[in-house]
Amino acid sequence: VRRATARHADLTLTELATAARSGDAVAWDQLARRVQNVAWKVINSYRLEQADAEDAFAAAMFRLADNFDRIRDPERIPGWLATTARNEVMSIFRTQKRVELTDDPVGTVIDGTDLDRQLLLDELQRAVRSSLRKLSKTCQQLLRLLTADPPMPYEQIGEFLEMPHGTIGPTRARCLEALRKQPALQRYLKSGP
Amino acid sequence: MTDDQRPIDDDDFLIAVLASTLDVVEPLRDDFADAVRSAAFSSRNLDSKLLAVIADSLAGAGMRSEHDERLLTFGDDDDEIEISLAVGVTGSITGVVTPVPAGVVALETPEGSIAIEIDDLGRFTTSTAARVFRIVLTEPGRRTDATEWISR
Repeated sequence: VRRATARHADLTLTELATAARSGDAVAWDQLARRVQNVAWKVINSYRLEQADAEDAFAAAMFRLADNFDRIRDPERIPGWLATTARNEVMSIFRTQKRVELTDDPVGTVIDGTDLDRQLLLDELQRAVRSSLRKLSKTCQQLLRLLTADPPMPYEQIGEFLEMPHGTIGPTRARCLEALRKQPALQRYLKSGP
Repeated sequence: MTDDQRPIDDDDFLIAVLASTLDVVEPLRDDFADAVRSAAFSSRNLDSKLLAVIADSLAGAGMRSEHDERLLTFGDDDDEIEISLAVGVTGSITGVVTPVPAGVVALETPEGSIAIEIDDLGRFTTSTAARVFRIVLTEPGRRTDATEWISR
């Protein structure tokens, strides 16, 4: 399998999709691996509990398995998956809203923060995360997508966030500046490395 | 601003800090992602026909109230088969398959598949705790039909 994976590593999404369509499980795995981070980054830009985030991820990946061979240009799968993942999050929010209004008067805790884990976090990481969450929705989504590995093409990020392609660079700079200005990070900045 | 504060002023460096932070605080667990990819591909039946949504009461709707059911109809291109579902917010599923299928009807979730009993009019009632599921019809000697994945 390792040899097969190495052989698949150089293939484009289009080539992987073609191979996966005819039942090549290794090609599918490589394709899905390459785009899964985009789904995860989109999902985590919303405040969901870990279990809900994983549900949304699974749902998006199952839809990808059903639909990857229907996407006309497989190179655009990252954008397709980003939109699909967002739809899954919206579907979860719809049912959570219902829970908030009925069964649970204090509201569902919609926060991915796990207290035990939080205690173990490095101070800088906590500062970065809490600062990120104070930014605008657009900044949060853009910065998260920019950390996807492998990177999502700028063109598809632009389409997903409904931003003209040419504005992504300047927006990235503006969002990073806003992140730097957050008090939690300023403190870190001032203490110096 | 002194020189020892430069790194965080560098955009690429800050993105890298952000990436490594998110990998730690919001990790996509490898074993979970591996299992999802594998199950998703296994669920893909190359011989099956995908039944697409024909009607969805949720389309264009806002929030559902506690008593609302989501009404869905799935069908194929040839109008050979139709599945109608009423999905409750708690995961209850009431459905009818037209025409009455001769084979097995199953409820499939990412965790697996369970057979559903249907009556002689093609009706069934079941429930699921899974966030996402689909209905699969298997008839011997005929293609398999599967609805799109449904998020309740």
